[in-house]
Amino acid sequence: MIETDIDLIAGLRKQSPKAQQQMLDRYGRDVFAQVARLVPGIENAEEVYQDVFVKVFKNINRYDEGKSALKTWILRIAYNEAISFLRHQRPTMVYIEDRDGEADSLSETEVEETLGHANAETVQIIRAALKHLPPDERAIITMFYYDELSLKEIADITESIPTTVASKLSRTRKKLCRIINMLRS
Amino acid sequence: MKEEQLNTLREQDKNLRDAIRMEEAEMPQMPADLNARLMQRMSREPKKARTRRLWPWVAAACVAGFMIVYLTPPKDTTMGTDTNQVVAERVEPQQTAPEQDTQQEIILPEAPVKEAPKQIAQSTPAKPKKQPKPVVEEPQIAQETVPAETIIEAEQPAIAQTTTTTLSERDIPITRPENYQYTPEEIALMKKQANEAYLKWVELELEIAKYHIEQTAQK
Repeated sequence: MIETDIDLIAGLRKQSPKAQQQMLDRYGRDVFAQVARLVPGIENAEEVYQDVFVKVFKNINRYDEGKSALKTWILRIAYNEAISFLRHQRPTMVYIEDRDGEADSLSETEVEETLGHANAETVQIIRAALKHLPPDERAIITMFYYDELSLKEIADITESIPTTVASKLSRTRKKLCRIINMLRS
Repeated sequence: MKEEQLNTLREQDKNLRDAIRMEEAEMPQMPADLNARLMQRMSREPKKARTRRLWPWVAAACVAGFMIVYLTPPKDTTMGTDTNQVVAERVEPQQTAPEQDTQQEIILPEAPVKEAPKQIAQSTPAKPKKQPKPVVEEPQIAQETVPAETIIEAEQPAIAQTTTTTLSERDIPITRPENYQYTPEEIALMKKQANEAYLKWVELELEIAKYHIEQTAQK
């Protein structure tokens, strides 16, 4: 943990408005990005974002420096808050679920060819396919490919274990490939 | 799948990375005033937090108060004995005086009759001041002194009036610990009354049943 984080936590525990403002400046964008990719609609994302930081400021005394980094702790709260918001909302999107395990039948080479070889057309299809993924799967795949978080960090945020995250990532890749094939056909 | 393999795949999956990057770029941007709104909200929050912090303590204090009231033993049981002890100390010296008098009175017949009035005369002038107080054990003393001679009998009201006792809680039968339990006679009486009541109830039930049978027969 960087030293400035220690000072920041000390200030937050004293409910200092200056420390709160500092935290918003430091982690606000990451939290908003995390919330916005899970929650549809900017108004909803703003509402969840505010709830996240209210929770962070109120429960800062529960934060354990030895368990995880401050950023990971905040992102976990953001993830949980967004998932909780989605559970209470009416479903506005229909996501593709791979209940019959058809995606598992795809070979690794086929998946690698679809997702790997640079192709502008495929990128657009992948973007369309990403919209059909459930929010939690989309969040995990974004945290891994875009935020470049490690499996442990993702596991900390999603309150899971690294092996579960790894298997989820593997399954999501195959599922994406299947959706792409469906869209192509 | 191991982490190393996944890290390799992260590098290989170019299309996926590009697609995600494009998606993230098109994500709505965070409004500039969002943090300012949040800080305004936070400035309004502390009052609520204060009340939330206080109410569990208030509730706990109320519960503790009720528990103290209901779980502590009533003071009557301990106070009763205390007051009795204190009162006993006060009463004893007063009761001994009349006893001496009565003993003297009983002995009196053996002694010469002429000396008796003197002894009574000696004891009586000493306690006229206590006469207004109520005398509880008078009858007993009076009964004991009944066999005494007629001269002594004439003086007895004066002696009886001199013995004074202070009533304590122990003097009231209902407050005596030994009276808290029912005596075997009382228990037997209660059983008898309960049996009688049960028999009466059975008779009443029978009458009601008969009445219903008659009513149905008439119909």
